[in-house]
Amino acid sequence: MQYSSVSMERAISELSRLPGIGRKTAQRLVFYLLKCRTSEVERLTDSLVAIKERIKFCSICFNLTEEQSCQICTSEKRDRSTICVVEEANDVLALERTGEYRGLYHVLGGALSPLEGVGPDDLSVKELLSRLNGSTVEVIIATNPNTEGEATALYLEKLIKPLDVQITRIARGLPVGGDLEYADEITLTRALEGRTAI
Amino acid sequence: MYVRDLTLTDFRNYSALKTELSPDLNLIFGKNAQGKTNFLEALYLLCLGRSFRAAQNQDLVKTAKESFIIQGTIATDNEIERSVGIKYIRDGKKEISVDRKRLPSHSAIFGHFPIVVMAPDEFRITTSGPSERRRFVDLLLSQVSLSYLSDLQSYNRTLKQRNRILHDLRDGVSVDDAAIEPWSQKLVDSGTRIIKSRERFLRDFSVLLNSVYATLTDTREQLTVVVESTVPFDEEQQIEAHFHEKLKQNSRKERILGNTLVGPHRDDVLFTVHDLDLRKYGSRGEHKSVLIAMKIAEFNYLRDARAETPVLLLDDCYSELDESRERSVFASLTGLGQIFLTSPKQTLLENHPELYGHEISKFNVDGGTIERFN
Repeated sequence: MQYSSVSMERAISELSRLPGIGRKTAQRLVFYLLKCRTSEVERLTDSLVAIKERIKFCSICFNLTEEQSCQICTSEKRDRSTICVVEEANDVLALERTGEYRGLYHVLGGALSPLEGVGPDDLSVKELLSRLNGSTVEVIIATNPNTEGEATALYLEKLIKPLDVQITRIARGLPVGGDLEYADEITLTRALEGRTAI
Repeated sequence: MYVRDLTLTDFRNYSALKTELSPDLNLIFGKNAQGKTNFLEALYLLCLGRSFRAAQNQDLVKTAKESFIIQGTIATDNEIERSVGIKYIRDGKKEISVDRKRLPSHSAIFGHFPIVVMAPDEFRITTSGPSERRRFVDLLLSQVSLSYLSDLQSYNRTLKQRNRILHDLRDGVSVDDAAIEPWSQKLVDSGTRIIKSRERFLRDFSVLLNSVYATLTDTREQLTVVVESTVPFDEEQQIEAHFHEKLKQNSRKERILGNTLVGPHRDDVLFTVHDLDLRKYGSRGEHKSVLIAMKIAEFNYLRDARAETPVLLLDDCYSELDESRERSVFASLTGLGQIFLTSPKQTLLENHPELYGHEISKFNVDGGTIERFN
């Protein structure tokens, strides 16, 4: 499409590169921004530039932070004997929302996937191993329950086992508050397999 | 179950077709290359979401058209009506919906609307390579067990990942040999479950098949089917250990060839008639009898496992049988359920009084149009 302004054309094509945003939505956003005050638009651009300039990986757990180490790693209140291993930083957010977990985290930065060229060296595996030096009692592996996540869990298990640390894997099964009849058959089968004595 | 009505739009050589169908016997007449098999293919797609021919979605769209739609009403054994739709737009993805709700995946339709096809192409199962026999077993088991389907999908994904590492090791792109470990473990996990399921399935299926074969051929020849696995085992419990062992034995070879050499993806199914390997010693006639017995056994197995009567498609392949066997096949169709039978000869009924007992609808196919007649 031909726009009457080069700036508009540029803004639209930049916005439509974002995930979940098509050309039409980008166009709507640009028209909205045009109506905003300059100060408002500056606040938006400043905040965007800030995330690139200030946010970095925590030097210990590879969570996202603006400091040298993230708030979880530096907190006095966290239980330092447990490390929960996740694939991405947004998995930390999900687990933190539960408010139940009081231990530390380790963000791998993905899962093993040779097809996408991701091997052990592309994940923060070495850094995880160097953290397991005596004070750690338990490592909880919370990678995704898909093929790549499972393989990553197996890989870590093999590495950690000789280190005299307890390794656990998060359970998979039925969603809480759901009805049995609405669960899909695979989830139900796996939940049956992983049943526990009461 | 039965398909009550069918509507096609730009599917194969049909521009627009809408017809009601008999819940019993439907005879489809027409000269060659007029669209008889295409009609059966549409029914198969409606029930299973995929074709029984080796065809890309692209091939299913009428020439110079952009999309095809298949719609139909299916009545289950409990007389519940479901409306099913299959839609495909060129370069897009096939969409399957049941009662106007789009299914999350193509395989979600598996097992709901059982259907069995007997077509000339199906002879490949016993005459062609192992992949055809695996396909037969996998497709049948996937319709009956969703956890089998999930194991199969996970196995195939793992296999791809593992082969990539072997590939990289072979080509020297990577030297990290330990990287293969977790994938081997994962391969053995889901692979063991697949081998176990196939083994158990073939044991049940063999009994069923043997009794059908005995009735059909009127002999006491034993027909047996067993898994011929690249992971040999005596007892089910040992599969996992043997699988690991086999991978170890082949590890050098795997790194030279850049491929996973053992596992369910390389397994075969062995058919023996009277202790002789059908692949090597079977006559054309024996292959035909085995195929027909297999299809009837498939029908019975699906019906019992899903508690739903399958639809049966017979595409002209009975015509290769001798007359007495053809008669015994036709005679066995009475009361079976909904059947679609194609034939180039309108004299079929006159020559086969054993079909008279059915409630018959007759159709004539001619250049992409279909007409019901009396």
